Amino acid sequence: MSAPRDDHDLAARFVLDDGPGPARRLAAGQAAALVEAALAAHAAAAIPPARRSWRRLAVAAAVVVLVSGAAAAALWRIARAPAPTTVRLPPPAPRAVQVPPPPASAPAPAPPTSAPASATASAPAATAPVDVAPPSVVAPTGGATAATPKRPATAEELLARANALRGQRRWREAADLYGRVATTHRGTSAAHVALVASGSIQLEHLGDPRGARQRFTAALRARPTGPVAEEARWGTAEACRKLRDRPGEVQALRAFLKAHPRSLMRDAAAARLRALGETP
Amino acid sequence: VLLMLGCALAADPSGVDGLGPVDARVAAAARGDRAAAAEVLTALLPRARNLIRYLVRGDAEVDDMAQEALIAVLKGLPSYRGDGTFRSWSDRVVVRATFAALRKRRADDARHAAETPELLPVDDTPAVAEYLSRRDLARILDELPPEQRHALVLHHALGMSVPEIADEVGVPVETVRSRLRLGMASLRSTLEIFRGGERP
Repeated sequence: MSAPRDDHDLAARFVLDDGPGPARRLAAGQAAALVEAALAAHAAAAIPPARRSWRRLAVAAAVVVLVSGAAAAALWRIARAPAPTTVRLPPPAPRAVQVPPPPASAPAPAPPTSAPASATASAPAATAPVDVAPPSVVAPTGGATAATPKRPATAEELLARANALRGQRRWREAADLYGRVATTHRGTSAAHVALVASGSIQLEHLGDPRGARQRFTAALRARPTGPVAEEARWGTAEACRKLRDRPGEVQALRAFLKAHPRSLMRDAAAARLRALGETP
Repeated sequence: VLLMLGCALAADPSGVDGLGPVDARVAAAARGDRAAAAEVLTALLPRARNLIRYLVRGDAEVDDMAQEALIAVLKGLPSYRGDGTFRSWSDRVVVRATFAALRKRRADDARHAAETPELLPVDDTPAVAEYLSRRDLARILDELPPEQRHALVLHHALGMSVPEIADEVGVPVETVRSRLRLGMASLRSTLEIFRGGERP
């Protein structure tokens, strides 16, 4: 076994393709049997529910009827009974709206995924303590009443939603949501991460290196040693490269090497500098 | 955040064995065409097995996990939208299925100990040398803690960025970075021991 010169050589040994290795070689017959077994297992998993469908359908229909009936009755009661009292008693209503900070004992809010975009956009600057992670409450869907104002989504919830969008490769929506976190929670570490994340999507998926560079620069200006400063500096160099801004790229690569001398990307950065005719 | 990919082996946009995002076989398999599904799985299998071997200790579980991964691919096919390469999509499915299988199997060490030795080829053609080199890397990875191993494989074999790995594994970005550094250091030192002829 040859010795790798450095981490870059070592990383290059992680070859993943259809060729032989690192899994043991498999005879063609065994491979075919494995595929057949997977197909059979999948088919078997799909068939039983269909055969039990009559009974299940009947139960499901009964549940739907019961639940929807109960919900309709509850809504009817809510619509008729409490509405006048809330109208006649104005003081409690505004008080309830004006006191969002102590949510610990408040009724369970709507789940994060159902929070409307407008709620987050209107989040006041007073929701600053996003750095202090709130207890991760998974609220049941039916917990919120129609009269309860929806709590603005926290930065963490927005980031989680943006991450999910990114996982679904919905780049534009993910970048927009990251951008909203960066705006509505300005100055927090969540905003810092969101800024870099949105810049990365702009750079790699939306074809906007200029916008990406602005976001990376803003993130680094706000937190030069933040948790994703390494990504921001590398992203800046990549954005400059796409913009054919040679001096900017050289400067960004030097800054990257200076700030992150132990980075896994240091060899790549040094190699790029050499390719640009510069000494690392 | 999808940077930090420079040192990784980036995915081939053509997909596995020609299985591109608009491949008719993928679409047919997603609609439930069994023959097309068989073709797709047959094309995926070698890469899936290799990826699983990178991720798990020893060979004993690879084929069982590969079968579970193929089932997961079949289940997920209808949700594949074709807006990325099929290969990168299926890689993610394989990774998740493997992690799920690992969570179920905690008797990993016992299974590993029960493995039978492989009869290795004796000729020294480049293909055989490459195969042995990959096998050696997997065996060295077997010596690493699983967390470090997974971070290294996701980063260097799949080209996932640090934040992507953090999302996938559910740990902070800093933790992933630390695992990568420690994993690389362990890999280097273990390699030195292997080179010296003494196995840890």
